[in-house]
Amino acid sequence: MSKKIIYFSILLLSFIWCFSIILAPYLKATKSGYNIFIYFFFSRICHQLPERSFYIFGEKFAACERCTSIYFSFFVGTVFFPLIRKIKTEYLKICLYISIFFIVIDFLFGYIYFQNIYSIIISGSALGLCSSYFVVYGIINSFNKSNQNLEAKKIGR
Amino acid sequence: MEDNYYQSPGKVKPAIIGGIIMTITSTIPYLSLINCACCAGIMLGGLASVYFYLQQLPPDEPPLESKHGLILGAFAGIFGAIFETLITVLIIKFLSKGYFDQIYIEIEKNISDLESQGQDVPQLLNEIQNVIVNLTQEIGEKGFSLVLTILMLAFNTMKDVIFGLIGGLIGVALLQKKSK
Repeated sequence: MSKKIIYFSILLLSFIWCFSIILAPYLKATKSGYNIFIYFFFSRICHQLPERSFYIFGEKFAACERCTSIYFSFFVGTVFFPLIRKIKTEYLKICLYISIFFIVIDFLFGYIYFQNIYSIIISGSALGLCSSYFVVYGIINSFNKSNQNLEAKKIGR
Repeated sequence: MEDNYYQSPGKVKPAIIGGIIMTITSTIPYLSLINCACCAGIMLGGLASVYFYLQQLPPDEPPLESKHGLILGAFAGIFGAIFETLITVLIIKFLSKGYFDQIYIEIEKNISDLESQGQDVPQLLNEIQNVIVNLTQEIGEKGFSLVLTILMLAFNTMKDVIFGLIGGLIGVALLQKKSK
């Protein structure tokens, strides 16, 4: 499969995922009734607490603030993947380590001590952005034969 | 020829361990709170499967490729979904039969809201409501529903495979040693 097709498929899926998070409150605000399915889908992977959610059209997003930050920044990271891939992998790996450490601390402190919206957005966005490179790169490499051969050559197989 | 022959270690065992971690973090009360952070528990399962696979690799073997992380994470997701569904079925049978209460109340509220405003209720909502009533009756009588089990398995597989493979890919990125 060509690299471009794989990349744009990931981009499209990521867009649909993010779009449905905003679509749910819109459908609820317009009383269409179909919002229930989107809210139910995301309820299996997110707590959806009203006090921890963003609001639009007077209704809460389908995912909480942290999840929304991760998904949206993942989408942004996917959009800018062609630019991000020019950065050295080692630097991105360090960023990923830092973002994981930051989100773990923020998550734990949220339950033990305090949490504010800025720390949630920053830690979530950092993780989504950093992980997007490795996920997109990994999927492209896994499905693209020429890339696999290149990877194999690099490691001397 | 034989000297160059390389057989990679099995992926099933690490994937099962990853699947067990996913199940533990998804089904145990309080511990399942970890999944509030974007299914971190499920991603941890995918990452763990890569870690245990790496433990099996002899030191002089070539390093992991991205596709290994993808496959391991997805496999762990499949095992995780099977275990999770089994445990949920047992919980429904022996502990809680009100699995659909929340969604039923939500649909009921939506329908009554629409009716009170004089708007048309989508046919799909009514159909879903009927299906839920039937499933609830079946669970109440037999303590088990095949349709519900299949639906749960399908949903859990989708969720665990997506987040599991993301965890697997992140695992390769984080745990991979530099190639010599």
